[in-house]
Amino acid sequence: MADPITFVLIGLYFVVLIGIGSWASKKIHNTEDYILAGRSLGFWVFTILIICSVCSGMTLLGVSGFGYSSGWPGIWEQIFVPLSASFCIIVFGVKLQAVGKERGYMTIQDYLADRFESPRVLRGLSALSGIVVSLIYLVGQYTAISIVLVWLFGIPHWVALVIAGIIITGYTVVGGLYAVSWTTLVQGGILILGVLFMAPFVVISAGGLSHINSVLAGVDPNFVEPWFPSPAYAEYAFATPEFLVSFGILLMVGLACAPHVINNVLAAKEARYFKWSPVIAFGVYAAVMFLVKFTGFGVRALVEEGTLVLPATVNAQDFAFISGVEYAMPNVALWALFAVIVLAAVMSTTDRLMLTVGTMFAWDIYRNIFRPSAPDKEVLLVSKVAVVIAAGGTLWLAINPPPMLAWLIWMGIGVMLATFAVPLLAGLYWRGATGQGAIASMGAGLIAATVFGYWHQFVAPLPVHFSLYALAASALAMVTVSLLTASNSQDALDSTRTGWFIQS
Amino acid sequence: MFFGLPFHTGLIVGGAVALVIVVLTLWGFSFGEAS
Repeated sequence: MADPITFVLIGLYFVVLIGIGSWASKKIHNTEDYILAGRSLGFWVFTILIICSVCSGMTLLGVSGFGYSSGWPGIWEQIFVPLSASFCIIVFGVKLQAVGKERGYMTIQDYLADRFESPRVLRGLSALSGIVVSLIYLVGQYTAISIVLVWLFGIPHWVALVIAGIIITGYTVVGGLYAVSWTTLVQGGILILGVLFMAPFVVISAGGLSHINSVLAGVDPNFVEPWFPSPAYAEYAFATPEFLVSFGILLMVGLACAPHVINNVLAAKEARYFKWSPVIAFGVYAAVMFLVKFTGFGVRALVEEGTLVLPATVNAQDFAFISGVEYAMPNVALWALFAVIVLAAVMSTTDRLMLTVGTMFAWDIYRNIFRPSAPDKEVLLVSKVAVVIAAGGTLWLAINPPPMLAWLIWMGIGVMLATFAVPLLAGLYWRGATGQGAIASMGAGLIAATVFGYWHQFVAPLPVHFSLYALAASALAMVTVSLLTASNSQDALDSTRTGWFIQS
Repeated sequence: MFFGLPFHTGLIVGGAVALVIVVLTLWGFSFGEAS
């Protein structure tokens, strides 16, 4: 499948990434430079970093696949996911950036430890759950990268993984967040411009949006409705109103508090970026994702009309985007550009996840729990070693992906919502929230997510997403235990700007 | 009809996107840069 143009373009793309990593390595003088790019991210680097941390390669392939299989009722995903970037900036970012700068936070765990006066237990618990969830996510990202490279070059799965792993690990280890954020600016630019350019070709080649919608309505009249009727009458018709409410909360809040997303707010150079970055992040991301969704609709129309045939695999719908572009764009140069777009989407999330895992281990667990006296250089070294180990371990897992990978990734997002959302929201906005309440909330959320996730998958389907039950359990534990235990000190509450306001 | 969609679907989805953009724009105007 690969031709010289594809090789040259992808080779050039990799050279640019390595070049940025090499440039960034000269800016790393201490741990703060490595973890937070010296809190120096400008407006566009910060905004694109937030967008691309949320948007993964699986999002790109999954969005069109969901459009292909479920039609318009799934369009809410394209509102909720971009909204998670805005939610993260407004609800978490404004306060955390300001307090983080004043009090020198390197990670969100620093905030939780400070606000709840729990320097070890809460920090350790949240760092551990963050690492586990990020590692699961990371296996999924590497699997997606290898799918793209194998499909492009016809090389063995493990070779694809090793090539991608070495390049991403290389620039992340040497350049930290400087490298991750600047490569993401390049990757995000390619992704956004590429989709804006290519998706219309697929939609036009399928006969235009009006024609596509009329074909969809012929397959199932509910494909052009805003949601499916309740209860779900088919496997693809799960986007009922009650499910969409839980799905909205999961995506908007759960993704916003994911460690590899929320930590970005600490690296923004100035608070004034938070004025317009929410609407710009939403607008840009939603425009791109709507177009990707429309390609899924277009490919469904092409398949229904017998013009296109998807690969005969169980997850055929995930090939909708790839097949649609292949059909609409026979030009080799454009095809190569498309390959770079998919790689850019996957790699920009992968590097951020690896850095997050390395940071949580080196800063929160090694430096703040086991060796508080460790000098800065040692923490920096441990951080880099942890990135390499995280990359090696997840690459090894991705070579033989666990059979339930997709389920594990959904569990991961559900666990993020169930364990991080309540302690963060209550910590920032409720002065009555206590350290014991936060620990109970994390524990209850984790247990409930595991129980309800298992129940939904293996016992009986639940009417709403399982994470909503876990979120309720987490909130209940927070309120009950906080009311029964002594409040944190006024000093801790004042210095972390706790209260029912966003800007003081 | 709205691009081949039933009118209510176009209205609900388009209205939701417009609402989000309006709310986020209002946030932008209300944001105090001094803090």
